[in-house]
Amino acid sequence: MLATLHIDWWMVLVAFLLVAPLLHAQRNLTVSVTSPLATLTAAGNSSDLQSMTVTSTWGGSGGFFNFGNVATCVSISSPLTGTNGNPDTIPQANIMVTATTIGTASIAGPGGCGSPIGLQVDTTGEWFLFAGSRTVTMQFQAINTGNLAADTYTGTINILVATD
Amino acid sequence: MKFTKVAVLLAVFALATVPMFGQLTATGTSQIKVVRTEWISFSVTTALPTLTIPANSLTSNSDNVVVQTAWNLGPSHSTGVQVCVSAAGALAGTGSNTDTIPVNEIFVTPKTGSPTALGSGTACGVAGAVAYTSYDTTTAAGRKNPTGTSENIPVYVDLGSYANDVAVDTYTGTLNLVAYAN
Repeated sequence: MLATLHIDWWMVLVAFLLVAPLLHAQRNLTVSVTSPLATLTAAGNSSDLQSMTVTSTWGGSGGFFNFGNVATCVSISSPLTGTNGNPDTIPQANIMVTATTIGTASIAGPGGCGSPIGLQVDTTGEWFLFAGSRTVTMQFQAINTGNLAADTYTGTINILVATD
Repeated sequence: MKFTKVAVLLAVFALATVPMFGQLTATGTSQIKVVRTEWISFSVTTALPTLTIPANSLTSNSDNVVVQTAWNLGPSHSTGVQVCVSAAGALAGTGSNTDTIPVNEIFVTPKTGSPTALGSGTACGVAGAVAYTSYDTTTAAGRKNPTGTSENIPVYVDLGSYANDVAVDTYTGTLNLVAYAN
């Protein structure tokens, strides 16, 4: 029995040496803005809607073992600010995002992708096994702009894509 | 033995596959830009009442045309908002009366300053206009006035510099009022 076990250990070791590198092989996940957000124009109490598209890709040599969902989240870390000392700002809560899976919600949402702020706008909805990609298009609109000073307000959208 | 082999295999598999369940993240950024468009509005809230030149006088009473100006301007309009008055032409009488009251016999009293005849100057970029007042827009607060500001603009007629008296009649013309952000 010991001899048999001894042989089995070697078999296991060989199997481990063969399999482990594959399982530990570098996986990767990337995200890019494939259609940037155009300038939103607010003539009244809300702006027009503009779209932004992001594409996530995953794979790598261990792509076969990429189990899990891929979620896409967006956030804005600070209010949009104007120019030349303009004290008015556009708070994150006044930036609305519309996406297929969520409808319309404030970007200052309840969190997502492991972040306490931001809004999850998409998930793959099923576990993925191989390398692949997913494209998410979302629309942005600024609301409650009626009392803002005429100016250009600028901020940064953070895009976070994460697996489970 | 079979149990041992299975257990060992499971253990090895568990050790080997730990990384594949680790979370992967990727981040990116995109600029968001919102342009709040600028605007200016202007209205005559009370028209100028009829002015009367009394007998034995060349000067009418002064009365007010009331205007309301509101605005929301961008930083490029930091040189002020002006309210100006001009006349479309001489005031004409009725019927066959050929007398007129020339533009330069119509006076506006600016908010700060002395009465000024219409017909000269280029206030508000308009030939012959007189600036009644201006508002400071150098600050962000000054560039935003959505509720508006009302002004009573005094207007009167003085025929003192006019060589001839005019026939007794009613003379009518048009005042042009303008709000201007340079």
